[in-house]
Amino acid sequence: MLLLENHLSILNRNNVHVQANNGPVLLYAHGFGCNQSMWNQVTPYFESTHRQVLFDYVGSGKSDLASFDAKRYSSLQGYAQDVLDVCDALGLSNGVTFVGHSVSCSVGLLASIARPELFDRLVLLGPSPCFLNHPPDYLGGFEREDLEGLLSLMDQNYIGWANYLAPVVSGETEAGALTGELSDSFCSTDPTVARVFAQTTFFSDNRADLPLVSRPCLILQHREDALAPLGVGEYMHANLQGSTLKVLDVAGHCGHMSQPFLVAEAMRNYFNNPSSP
Amino acid sequence: MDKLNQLPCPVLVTDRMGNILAANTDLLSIVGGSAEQWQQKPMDKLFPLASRVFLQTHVWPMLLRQESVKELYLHLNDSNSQRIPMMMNCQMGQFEGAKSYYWVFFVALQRSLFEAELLQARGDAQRMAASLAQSHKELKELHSQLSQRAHMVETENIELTELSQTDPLTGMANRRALAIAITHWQSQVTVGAHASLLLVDVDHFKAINDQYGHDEGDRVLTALARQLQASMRVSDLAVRYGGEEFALWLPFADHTGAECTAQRVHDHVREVKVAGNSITVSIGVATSSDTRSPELLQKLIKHSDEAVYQAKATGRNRTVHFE
Repeated sequence: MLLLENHLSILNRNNVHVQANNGPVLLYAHGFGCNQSMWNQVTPYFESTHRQVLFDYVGSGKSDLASFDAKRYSSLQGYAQDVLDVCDALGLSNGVTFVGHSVSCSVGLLASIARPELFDRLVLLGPSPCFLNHPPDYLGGFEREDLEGLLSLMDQNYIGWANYLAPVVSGETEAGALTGELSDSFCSTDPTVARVFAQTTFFSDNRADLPLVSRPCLILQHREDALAPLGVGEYMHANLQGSTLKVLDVAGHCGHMSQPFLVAEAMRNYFNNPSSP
Repeated sequence: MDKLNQLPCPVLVTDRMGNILAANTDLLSIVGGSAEQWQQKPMDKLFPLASRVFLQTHVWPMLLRQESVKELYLHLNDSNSQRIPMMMNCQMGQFEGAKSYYWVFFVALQRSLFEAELLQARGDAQRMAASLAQSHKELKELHSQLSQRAHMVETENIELTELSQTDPLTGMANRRALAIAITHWQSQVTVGAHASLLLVDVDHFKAINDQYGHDEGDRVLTALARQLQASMRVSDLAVRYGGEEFALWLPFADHTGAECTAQRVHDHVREVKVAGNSITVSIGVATSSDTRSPELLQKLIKHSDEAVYQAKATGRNRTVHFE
């Protein structure tokens, strides 16, 4: 059991926001690239029925950058621990519905394997257990060079960079230089923090974890998604016992931002009637 | 559409799902094909995979939230599937009466090469600084280990010298050995036995040192040490007491016995020569029968010291007995 002050510091560390205080808990986890405000157009649909919790992973949004530990966050387990820390800090011990986007789906699954009693179910929007191709059995959609290309694109886009081109400071560790906040930017390609998240996201392989998940999952698959092709959604469905697959008529990877009503409707239907998609 | 063609840069119009509504001739000249061909196709197809992911993870979220993005860098595929580096702005607007997105591109070949080099150099500098910092840290650790070690050795040396009972120059016993010998004698002897101490001081030793150097001074001391050893009985002990001062411990020697030994010392010392001349010594003698006194050593030293002073004051090269 964590102490109260630790709870407060985690709420601060992960920039936790709780909307309303009634009803079952919806815990939203943002994907790689942005922050909790990605969910801003979905939360209004559940305002009156749910207690909604939003947070930023350490290193994203307005989290406490000083807590960023490149070692911890170079594994999705590190991010899953953020999810569990937030639940503990809020005193949640059961009944949580986890709603994750993109890489956060894997994070949520890992958290549910670690603490199944905490979660009622998971909503997975645009999940992929592994972005790399492993032919012939699995096609995640990417070759290693594609993902290296993404990392170098991030290096040449200066969104939310914090003084990267300032003079090189000798004797400072990379982590030691991380203080304060990311610049107030929705997305970030910051080379020290976002790059670690990118590498962790795109080079993780969580396929072997899928059979270990015991909680029911709703898989929301975008019809045209450069990051998670239809085949990946089907793979998840086949390997997650008791899962429901729903293909959304959305092109792109961010249905919760481009067609939030479709996402909310699919979630609502699933909550009301878990057996039929 | 004609208006788009008049713009001096590649332009693309899409709906909010990224489906292509229009592409101007500048854009088509890069990506190939006709405007009709691209109509309603997903814009993703214009980009290599890495750029598609960047569009989905960064560009679209920002666009859907704040309705415009500026100065982003990505690649377009040209008609030969070559990657063309581009700077890109996008803004929400109206196209044929519907909410749409206008994408404007600038080819950035030179810029991207230059930037890639800059970033490479920055990365190298960062790595070099890190490795320098690491080396510096290791050096500092080594230095601190060395200092610690040196300090330890120094302390050990001091302790060893104190523990040792030998004078390193002459090989004679030192003060410590003298103290031990006297205490040992006191513990075994019957009450009232006599003992004497001779304090032997080289005459004009400072002048020898000044005139002939310290090496000569050291030689004189060493030679003198040998002569002292030769002048005494087996049961006696000769020690180097200070710089040019020696002490001879003569157990059971009374006044007469001590004088006798002092005379032998004067005789032997004549063998030691500097520049052809014999050196001389002044000797102070103290005799005591106070065998039980815990201050026996201190008293003998004090008395013989006073006697040496007398010997020096009365012309040197002589023995004075403390009375």
